[in-house]
Formats: sequence, C-alpha cells, structure tokens
Amino acid sequence: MEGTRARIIRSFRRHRLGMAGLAVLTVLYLVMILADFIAPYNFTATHRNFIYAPPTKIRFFDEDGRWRGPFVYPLTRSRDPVTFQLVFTEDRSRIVPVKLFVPGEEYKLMGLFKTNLHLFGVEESPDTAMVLPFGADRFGRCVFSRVLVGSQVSLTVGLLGTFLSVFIGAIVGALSGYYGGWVDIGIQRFTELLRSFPRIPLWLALAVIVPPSWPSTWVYFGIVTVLSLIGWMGVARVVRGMVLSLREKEFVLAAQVMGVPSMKIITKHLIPNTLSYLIVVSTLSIPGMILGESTISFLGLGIKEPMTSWGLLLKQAQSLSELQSHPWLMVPGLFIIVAVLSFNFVGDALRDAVDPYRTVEKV
Amino acid sequence: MSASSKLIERGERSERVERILTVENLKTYFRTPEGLVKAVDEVSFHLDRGEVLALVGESGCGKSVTALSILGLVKSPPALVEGSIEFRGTQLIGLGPKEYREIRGRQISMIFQEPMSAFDPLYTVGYQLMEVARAHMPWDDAEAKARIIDTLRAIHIPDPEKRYSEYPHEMSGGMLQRIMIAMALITSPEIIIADEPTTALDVTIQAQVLNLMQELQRDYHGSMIFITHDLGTVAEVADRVHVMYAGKIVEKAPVVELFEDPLHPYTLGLLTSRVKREYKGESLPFIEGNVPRADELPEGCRFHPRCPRAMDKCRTLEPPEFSPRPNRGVACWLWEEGDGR
Repeated sequence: MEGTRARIIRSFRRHRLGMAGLAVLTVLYLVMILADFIAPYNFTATHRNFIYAPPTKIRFFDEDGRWRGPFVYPLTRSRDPVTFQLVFTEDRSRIVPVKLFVPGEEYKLMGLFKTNLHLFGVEESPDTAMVLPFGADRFGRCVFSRVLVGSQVSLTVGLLGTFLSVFIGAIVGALSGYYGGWVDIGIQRFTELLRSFPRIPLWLALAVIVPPSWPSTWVYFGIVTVLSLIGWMGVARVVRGMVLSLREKEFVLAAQVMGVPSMKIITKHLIPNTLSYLIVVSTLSIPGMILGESTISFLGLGIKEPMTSWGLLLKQAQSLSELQSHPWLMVPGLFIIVAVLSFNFVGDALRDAVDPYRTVEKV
Repeated sequence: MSASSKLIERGERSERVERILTVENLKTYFRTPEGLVKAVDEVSFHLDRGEVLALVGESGCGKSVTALSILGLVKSPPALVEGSIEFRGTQLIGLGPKEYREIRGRQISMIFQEPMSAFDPLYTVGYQLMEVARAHMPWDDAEAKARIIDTLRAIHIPDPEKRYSEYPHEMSGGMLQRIMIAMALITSPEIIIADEPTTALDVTIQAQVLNLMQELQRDYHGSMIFITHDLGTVAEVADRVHVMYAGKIVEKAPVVELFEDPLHPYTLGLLTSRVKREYKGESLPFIEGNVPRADELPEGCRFHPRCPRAMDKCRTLEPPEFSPRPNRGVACWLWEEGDGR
C-alpha cells in the first residue's frame, strides 16, 4: 500500500494546476479560519459615512513624493448636485497610517477568545477614515470583511454537503449493487426519478421547506441537507456499478463462505474498495455544492442575514445599475470562481493520480 | 485419530464410518431470459468422515454450482434449488440465513481457485484471518492471533508473525493459497470444499499445495470435497471420484478403480485424452464435439452426441444409475444388463 501512496503523491505533485489549486485552497481555508482576525471590521458593523464607499487606495508616497509607509487619506462624502450621487473625495491634508495588529471592533476569535485585535487597520474612528480593500456596501459595511466571513459558509457548505451526499450515495449504491434484484431495480428507478427533476427548482422547493423562523446556524445545516439530498444520486449510480463488479470477486464470495454477515461485507469490503473513486468524486463535487449554495442564497432562499455567504453577497449585485455604479460588489463572485476552479483542478489532479478509471462522472 | 486406528484397513474402517453429508436429487436451476438452465440436475452423493471425494469434470459441468448449493450461496429464488442436502442430520435446503451462517465457515468451509482475488487487497491477511476467527470462534483477539499464527506455522509458512501483518499483494500465489487453506482450517470445520485449489498455481507449487492438503487431511481427519478438472490431482488426493458431465454425475468409483477400469464412455474418453509418453509425435486423442450449453441440453443421455457407442435408446431416454460392480455407479445404458464392454 505504501508504494501506491507514494506513487499517488508523486503523480499529484507533477500536476501543476492541481498543485496551484491546492495552494490557493490552503490559503483560502487558512484565511477562513482566521477570518475575524484578518477582517479589519466586524462584518455586520454599519458605517453611515462610508455608504457605497469605493475600495480604499492604499498609498505609500505623500503629495510631495515622500515615502510614508502604507497609509490612507480620510474620505469626505458629498452629493453630486446634478446626479444626486454620493461622491467621495480624499482629504489630502493629513494621512492615516495603516498598521498591523491594531485594536478595533470587538469579536470572538474562532468563537473562543474575546479580543479586539485585528491583523491590519487604521487607528482612527470609522466615522472619518476606514481601510476598505473591496469597498463598502449600501450600509457602509466592509465588503472585504464580509467576503472573509462569508467564506466560512461558502467553503464549508461544500465540504459538509459533499461528505453527506457521498456518504448517502455510497451506502445506497452499495446496497443496490450488492443485493441486486428487486432492491436494485427499486433503488435505481427511484434515483432516476430524482435525477430527472430539474435541479434548480427542486433546490428551491426544498429550500422553501426550511422555515424562515429558524436561527441562521440551523438554516445553514438545512441548506447542507438540501444540497446533499440532491447530490447523492450520481455517486450512488457509480458505486452501484463498482459494487456489481466487486461482488463477483472471490474475496466477497470467500467472506460469504466464511460466514461474514452481509452488512459487514458491504461496509468492510465493498465500500472501502471504492474509496479511491469516492475521494475523487468528493473533490469534484465540492464545486457543485459551493455553486449550489451560491445559487440558493443568490435567489434569496438560502443563507439569510445577518449570516452571510458569497452567494448572498452577490445578491446585492443583482441589478445592472447597481453594478455600474458599484462594481466592487462583484468581488465575492471572483472568490466563488477562484474557489470552484481550484477545487476542479485539485479534483482533476487527484483523479489522474489516483484512478486508473478515467471516466469519472461529475456529480 | 490415534496411530493404531490409522493402521486399520479401509474395509474394516468403513463399517464404523460416520456419514457426514448426504446429497439427494439436488437440482439447481437458473431462470434466464433464454430459459431454464439446469446447472445441476438430480445429483446424489454422500461424504463420510475423513474421506476425500473428488468431483471431476470439464468447466461448466456444474461442479462449482454443486459446491455453492451445499453452502447455500445460490440464492433461491431467483434460482431454484431443490432436493435434499443433509449435513449431520440437519437439512440445509430451506435453512434460514442465520442458521446457515453458523454452518458456513464454521463447519463447512471452502478453498477457492484464485488465491490472488480471494483476499481483499485492502486488509492484511492477518486481519482477514482474524475476521473469520471473530465471526465463529469464542476466542479473544490475543488467543485468536496465537491460534492463527499456529495454523500458519502448521501449513509451513515461514516467519508467520511477519506474514500475519502483510498485505495480499506482498505474497506469491502459492503462499496465498496456503494462507487460504489456513483460513479454511482456522475453525476446524467438518468439511472443506476445495474448488480447483491448484488450478491457478505453477506445477511445482501445485505439488506442494497438494502434499500439504493431504497432510492436513490426515492430521485433522476432516472430510473434503475436492473439485477439479485435473485427473492427475485426483489420483493424488482422492478416495472416491465422481465424474460429472453437463450437470449430472455419470460415474462413481473408488479412485484406483476409476483409473484401472472406467465404465462410462465419457470417463474413458477423459482418461485416453491425457498426455502420455506413447503419444509422442502424434496428435493427442480427444473427445469429439463440445460440452453442451446448460440451456440447450440434448434429449436422452446428455453425452450421446459425442459418444462413440451411442445407441438409439441413448437419444431418447435418460439413463438411470446402474451399479454393475460393488461400490460403483454408472449412468449409461451400456451397463443396463451385465457387461457394457
């Protein structure tokens, strides 16, 4: 077994896109864990002087071209007398330096320690100067902070949902393949029925069941369940096929002859033998889950305020006029694209590394 | 068995033998879209304690299906398993799955043809032996491991402690086959069914494994059903031989008599088509035609289209079992009255 593992790792390392994807994902997940610390502001804090403020320019040289380290100018807000649009102008009379480890709004790091230390920020009241790498939304909330905190939903929903759906899929598929006959026919027709429903309306229908009165963490698990209840069918089909061929192997017959109970044969011998497929299909189906959550949230049926996710953040960028005047609201979309692409690259690399079967069905 | 009782002549011993398995009119049919496939058709035989019975026949003649039927691994329905299989007074046909699991592996175990695929590649052989021990024996893990290693040593596996924690792919086919024999022995079963245990091995390894099986059979004094298509191995290990053709037993004989005096034309054909020195330079004799497919069996005697001595009667009527000599049985019309030579 050791040899196989070494070969898989070597072959994965040769896959450049896969390695790049893995690096990006590592960064994303690290940032996700430390989101509250890295975010300069509380993701729900509103700042009425910075409504729809564009991304802050972080400067290094002052008016005279002198090096001053990273700093920002305070912003003053005014209304354009013709278009009535908010216009922000930099007040270049003084500089506000951007520092590391500054005290700011209070939060609980990883839900445990109460602190007000942030990775970076300005030592200035958010009424006059803020550092907003991705701008602010219509309540003056820092989009960067919101993207980081939103990743806690978007990046875990895929993992949890995939785990659940692969779990269900593997068991249903193995039962179907192992027992065959009427059990198989029943399960297969049922999966086909489920698969033939149009996916998005089904998501929406199931998401509507999640009661609006639920607290946001429950809603989160509700969404995970909805996503995985729809995602397991592809896994079930392939696992069934693999089990059909595996159960004809003599070691299964041998286990039967030796009196090993069926359930033990399924869990100990059949499902573990499909593991290489399950790992690959998991990686490849995480992006689908992430996109699914984004879709549901974008359509307003998923994660609800005050919780946030990338899909929910994108919801603000729904109208064209909004996009035209505040293009930075699209930034969460970029994160979705990067995360999904990275997972796909890693999945492809894993598939090439692990599996001699090249025809892996994406879920 | 003590040394003195081993010295008792076969004839004398037969008076106090214990009949351990009796199969009567076993029918195993499969329903397929092409029709009813009679894989095993009215097969009857018995097995005594300490005896090795060989089931011989070409591939597809129903040997393995007979074995699986005894073990209750042919699912009925959809298949059709009828007749009577009596194991130490227990009727196995129609036995519940739970009761069957008590017998399967514990009292009747099996050795397979392909040692390489008979082990799950994901677990060490020790783990898989342990799984069998845990399923049937009241031992705790430490005792089970000790017993497993003892068994491995008994079948001449060098360095059994090391082998215990190795994976199947780290071993040769012959080694794995011996470990499978150990697996079948762990529970000290009454009957071991060996399904072509040497077919997938090299000739030299074959000889080793056969010797080992004989040795174990002597020491453990269990009974064995030995399934093979190789008459050479039959001569090595068996006490009695049943020749199967197209789902039926066509001839029953003690091993020496079968080779010296085959009664059925099919057996004769098999024996003459063995490789012998006299045939050097010539093409080997063979039996014309092929084994009929189980779903298009000929009427009458199933061997008649290939039989050099087929008579009109053979084409329409199935021969019953005749017993022209003591301890012999042959399903051929030639032996209906007197000598069929």
